[in-house]
Amino acid sequence: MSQVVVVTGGAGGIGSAICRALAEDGHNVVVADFNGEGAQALVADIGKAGGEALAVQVDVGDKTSVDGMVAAAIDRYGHIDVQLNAAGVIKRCPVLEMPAEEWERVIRVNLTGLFLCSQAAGRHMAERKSGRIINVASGRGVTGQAMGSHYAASKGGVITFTKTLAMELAPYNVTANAIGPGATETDMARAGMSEEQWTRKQATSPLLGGFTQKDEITGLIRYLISDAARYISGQLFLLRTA
Amino acid sequence: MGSEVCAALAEDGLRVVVADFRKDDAEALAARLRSGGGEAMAVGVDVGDKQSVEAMVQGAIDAYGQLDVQINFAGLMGRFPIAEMTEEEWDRVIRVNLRGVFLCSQAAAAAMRTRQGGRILNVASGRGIAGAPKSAHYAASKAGVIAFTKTMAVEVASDKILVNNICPGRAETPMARAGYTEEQWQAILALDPLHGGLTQKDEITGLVRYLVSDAARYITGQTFLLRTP
Ligand SMILES: NC(=O)c1ccc[n+]([C@@H]2O[C@H](COP(=O)([O-])OP(=O)(O)OC[C@H]3O[C@@H](n4cnc5c(N)ncnc54)[C@H](O)[C@@H]3O)[C@@H](O)[C@H]2O)c1
Repeated sequence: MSQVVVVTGGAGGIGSAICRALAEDGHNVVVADFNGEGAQALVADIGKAGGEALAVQVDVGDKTSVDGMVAAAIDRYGHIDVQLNAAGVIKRCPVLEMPAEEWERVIRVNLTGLFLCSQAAGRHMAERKSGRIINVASGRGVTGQAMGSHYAASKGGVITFTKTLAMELAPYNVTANAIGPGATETDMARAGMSEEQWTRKQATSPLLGGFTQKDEITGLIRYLISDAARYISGQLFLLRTA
Repeated sequence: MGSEVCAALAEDGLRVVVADFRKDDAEALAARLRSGGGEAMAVGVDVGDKQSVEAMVQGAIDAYGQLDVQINFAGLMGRFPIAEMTEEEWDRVIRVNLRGVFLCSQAAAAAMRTRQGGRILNVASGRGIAGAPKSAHYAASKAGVIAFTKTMAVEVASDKILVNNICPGRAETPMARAGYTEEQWQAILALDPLHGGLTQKDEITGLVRYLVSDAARYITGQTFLLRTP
């Protein structure tokens, strides 16, 4: 059955792959991204391929902007079935040199942004007594990440936030789960790795430590929005060992 | 649970070997799957016995020429506080739940290695993470399965063999039933699945279908929980 899916970071490497796959499956997709032009270009692409999508420019760290995103989705498609939070930022920076502003920037998008989006979409879903929230976490939120303490902390926060969200939303028949994709070939991963780490990953088979393929992520999302996953909540799905 | 998974995979067009200690039940299920248009055969097996397990794998290969997926559902449960647990009871459960997973995984991987590919799904349990009062042997066996799976995943990755765990949560099966008093069971039956109620069978088949699909071709060493332990 066709669902309405909002994807934040929808114009990004992982987000855009998800948007394309779900539009291909016949779902109505809201491509929500800070990069409004990127979102529009993707929506045009999806349209050419026969899919249905809407572009929304959003800053997930800003409550008014997030409320506008949810309202735009409901305006266009009547309701939201799935809120998929994939917006994120990273920058390599050692703890000892980390300016508070850089810490704040990453936490604001990756953690506060995800809270605001889950809250806004969650309120709408609680009212309808139906919905699923999928948060993109990362194995780094379990293991930590040298040169990315703010990123790791934000993702660790996403995992426990999602577990808590699942508990609080269960009475409303709304589920919340987190996924941890493993390193995926996107601009973000490039920014989070050294040159050497990047080339090593590229040269390695996915089974032996190489990159997660995008269709692995879309396959997991297809499963998580399927009927078989209707009671799964509060779980973390890792595609790679953290 | 195993029978539901057999039925779902046969429906999807996979060739299914129904392997169980109770050979008659396995025969009956395989016959039912065949009459539904599926391809299935039955094998009697004691998963705790190496020879029997090797015969099971050989039987699959003789019949179908290959083994792509080995799913280890066979398991036992018992209710005894540790203070009253006999060595025999401990061994009975560990032998099937842990040694059985080891033997089946080992034999299946040997067959998969020659073709450089395959998937093994071991059914563990959230009890292996959270513990299980009055079923310490069960909890210990499942914790063992989780650690075994993670270890094996690393050892066989270069042979393109994937090994993962699934932890279904409580489903309506004789085994789950055996872990509770009548009163507890009735209370669980009354709950919504989102609030501690039973895992539905199609949730388990859905997860298995996902894990044998192309999208899961690089996932290994993971533990998939359908419920929070
Ligand atoms: N690539 C990996 O290796 C990897 C691994 C694990 C988890 N993740 C996570 O996956 C998600 C997607 O990452 P990606 O690799 O596709 O990165 P990406 O940089 O390609 O995409 C991220 C997207 O988020 C958008 N964005 C940034 N700030 C925003 C804001 N304030 N409001 C709205 N949108 C904003 C960006 O415009 C971009 O399109 C992130 O949450 C990331 O942490 C990535």
